[in-house]
Amino acid sequence: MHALRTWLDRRIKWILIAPATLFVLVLIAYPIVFTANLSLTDAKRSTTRPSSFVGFENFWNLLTDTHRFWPAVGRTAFFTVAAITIEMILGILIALSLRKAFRGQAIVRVAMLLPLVATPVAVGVMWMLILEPNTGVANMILRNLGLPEPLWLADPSLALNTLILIDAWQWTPMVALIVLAGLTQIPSETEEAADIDGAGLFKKTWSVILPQASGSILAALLIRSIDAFKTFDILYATKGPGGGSNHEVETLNILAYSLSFDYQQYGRASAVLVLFLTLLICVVTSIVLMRRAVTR
Amino acid sequence: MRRKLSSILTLVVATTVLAGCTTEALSGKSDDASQRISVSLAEGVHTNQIRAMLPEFETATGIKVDLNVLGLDQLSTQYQVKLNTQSSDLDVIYFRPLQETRLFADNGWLADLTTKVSEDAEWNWEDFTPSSIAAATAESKVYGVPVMTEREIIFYNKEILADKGIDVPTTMDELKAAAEALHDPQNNQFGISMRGTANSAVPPFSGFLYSFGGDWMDENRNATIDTPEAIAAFDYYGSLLRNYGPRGVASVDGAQARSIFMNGQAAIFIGEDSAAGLIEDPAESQVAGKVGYAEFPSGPHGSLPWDITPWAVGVSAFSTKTEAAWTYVKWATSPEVLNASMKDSTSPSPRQSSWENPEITEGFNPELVTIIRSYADRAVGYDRPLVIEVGMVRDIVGAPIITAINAGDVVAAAAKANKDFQDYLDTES
Amino acid sequence: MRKRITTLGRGAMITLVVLGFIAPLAWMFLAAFKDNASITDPSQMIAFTPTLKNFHTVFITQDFAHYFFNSVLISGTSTFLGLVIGTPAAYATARFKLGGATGFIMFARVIPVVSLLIPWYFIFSQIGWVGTYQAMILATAFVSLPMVVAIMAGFYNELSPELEEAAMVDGLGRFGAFLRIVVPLSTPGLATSAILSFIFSWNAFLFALVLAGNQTMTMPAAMFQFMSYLGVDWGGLMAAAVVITLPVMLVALFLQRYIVAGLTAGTTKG
Repeated sequence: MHALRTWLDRRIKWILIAPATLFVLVLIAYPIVFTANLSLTDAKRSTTRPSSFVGFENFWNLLTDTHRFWPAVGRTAFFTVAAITIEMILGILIALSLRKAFRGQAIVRVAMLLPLVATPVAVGVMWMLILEPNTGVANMILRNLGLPEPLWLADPSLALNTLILIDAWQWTPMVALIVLAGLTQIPSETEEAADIDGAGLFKKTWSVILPQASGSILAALLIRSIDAFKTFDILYATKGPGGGSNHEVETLNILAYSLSFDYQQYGRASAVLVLFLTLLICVVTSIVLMRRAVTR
Repeated sequence: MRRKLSSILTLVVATTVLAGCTTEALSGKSDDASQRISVSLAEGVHTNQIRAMLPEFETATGIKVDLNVLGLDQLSTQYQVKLNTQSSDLDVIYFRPLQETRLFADNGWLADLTTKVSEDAEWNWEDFTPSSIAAATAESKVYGVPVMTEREIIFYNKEILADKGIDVPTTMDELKAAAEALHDPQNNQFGISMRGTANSAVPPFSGFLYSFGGDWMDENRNATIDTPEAIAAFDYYGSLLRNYGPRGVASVDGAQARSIFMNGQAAIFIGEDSAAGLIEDPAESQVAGKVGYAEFPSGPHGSLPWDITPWAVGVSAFSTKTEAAWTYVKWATSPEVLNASMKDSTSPSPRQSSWENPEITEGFNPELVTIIRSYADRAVGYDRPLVIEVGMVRDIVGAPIITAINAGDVVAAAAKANKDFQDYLDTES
Repeated sequence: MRKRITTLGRGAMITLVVLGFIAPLAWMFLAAFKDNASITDPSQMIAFTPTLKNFHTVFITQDFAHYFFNSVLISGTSTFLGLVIGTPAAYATARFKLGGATGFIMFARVIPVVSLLIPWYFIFSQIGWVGTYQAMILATAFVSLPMVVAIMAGFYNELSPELEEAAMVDGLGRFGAFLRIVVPLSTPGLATSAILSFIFSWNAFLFALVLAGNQTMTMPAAMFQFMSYLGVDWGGLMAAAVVITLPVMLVALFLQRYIVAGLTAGTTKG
């Protein structure tokens, strides 16, 4: 009994972490091998048909594909950067304005939580109804105000921007709440000191308050980056599997899905996934490193 | 406080455990597994009829059916995943013959039904129209039994046309003139509604392509979508929708194109005749009772609409319950079920006998029946290129449609599409 | 004076924020009680005769009661699974600095789900789990596990190790200290991560789209039955959206403190 306990205690860290690690390993190892393997073959139509090894041909074809691949990379980057920029700016502004306790705080907090917890596919169809070009309430209001009526999701040149706004609607609250938590940790003396120095509101916020919340801000940035890069549900719900008629909202995730399930080009689709995953890992690692550098 | 927290946790655990116990009961493991089959199909007119009549089948045969009804895209994704892994999870599968017969057959995903279909004289395989049989056949093997046919026709709103004193168009020129005269976007009234997204527009566009004298490819499988005829068709279709179509037409898919007409916002809708039931249903449509029907307009090469088989039903090659699955297929394609689908749910039957029976054709407007009969000697049997990887090819050949809608360089777009299509055809085998 | 302007500005901004976040959801709730004709009719924007027809479609025509049960079962069980294996891992991460292993677990959050679908289906079909609850639960635990690990690691980072150390001195080993001292102290963290990972499991869509059978379909995937060949049934779709989102919104209303705590766990420190 005692021996068992010592044995357990000596290896405790591995015993505690093993189940979770094994779970992920079991579920992830085969998919990674499977995808990496397919990406080096010309597999198409069905994954069980005989396929031949083609080396890096799929990758080469993608890297020279200016019709679907590079535009998808561009859209992924644009969607992520634009959505996150809006979410960070609005989120920080909202957090700053909610920093001090006031009446009705609970209502505001709930109002911010609701979009955040709502199911993304439901959010997608909800906005489809609101932004429907002919019968939607958004254009109904614009029409009554005598303003021009955009086609929103139905306009190929506007669809991606519209989806960025929808994403911002849903996820700005998350940034706001995380940053707000960081702001409330700031000791009040810091601010009082700044007040005594006679710093203006803007200067005080910019050079005293925000730097102290940088840990939270970067944490919000990290979480949102991963999810924005991988956005799938609202794009699929509003524009379908191909990302629209001109593939106007086709990001890397949607492209991989279309190549697999609409075109049955599993080799190419797997190559997209390999590149996509590499890109994701690079982005995540750089934000994690940045966060470490700042918080140290 | 602590108490509240632990009660939340207890609740989560309790729900979980409780739910876990009922799992077994729900998954139906107690039934005789060999008599329980899964049937996968998409939401649609035929599906409604199957839902209604299924209890009859279950009582008569003792076979339990799990209906797996999904949206079209979701169904297609599930097929890819499940058939790729050779899962025995699927028994009966409804598929789109022109889209999937060759792909699925080539992948070895569908059971060969050639001998089965000729076994029962009373069920009568010969009764199915030759073109519908051809659609479900690949390399002279039968992979499915047709459940529905469909043709491209003009639907028009009688009230709107009468108001403006416009005659029903019979030619491409008249169609254009009518759409122009009926187009009033300020009042949310559009001349014509048709599909505008690249992939979904391929079927409606193909009637225009044929009637302008074009085709997807020639008999030697050379791509022919950069010919003057094809370019004229792209131009015509694109400018018609750009000038007289609904707002945001480049994002309008099949269901939307139809519902714009059903909302009374479009004077003319060109689409599949099987939509008639829905369009005439007062609970769903604001134009019910006001709809007129007309033949597809004639172009430089006459009126060449398509007459296709949108759905067939087959058996998965990986099913372990082929007998029960076949029993279902035979029932679902029996005169009884197909006639009822046609009569009650306006799902046009692939059986010739259905069309000879006035009691069954009664479900359709007589105008429509006349039009459908008139198509028999001239209609084309496909509404998309007959290739294996239809999903990808539709995007290729549909691209010039979008260019035309956006008033781009159609000649260049058609040349590029033709080249891409040819590259595909050259490497298809 | 300046103070008053800032207060006013803040008030205006707060009102705008609340309206902006709530109004679209309110519109969705209203539409769920309209028939399809009044949804598109400008004169019936606010004043209309409410109908329960859409909910009839959702629960009677489409088997949403069953999908609802599936969503509860699958999200609940996968959350539980995530807690059971994620909490020890989080503790180990916080106390023993296992950067590599944690990074690997967090990989589950980074990898694109599309790359998992076909391989997972293949594995599940090899072991006869296709269309079963087990398959859906394991897949969904992939969402809950990294969330539990992140939140609980943040929690343990802030939990002082003094109590455990005292317990170890008292003769409880490390393992005993974890089970008897740490786990009971973790209730607030566990509740937080349970609630948050339940919500995100509940919302998971892509797994259900591909891996669920008709017996195990969850609500987000089942919703697409309203966007079918027959056209988009807006009323039914909005009623379905309400049925899906209402439970998580109620959770958000009544347990908001935990959600905020979960979202911000470990973010205020480095």
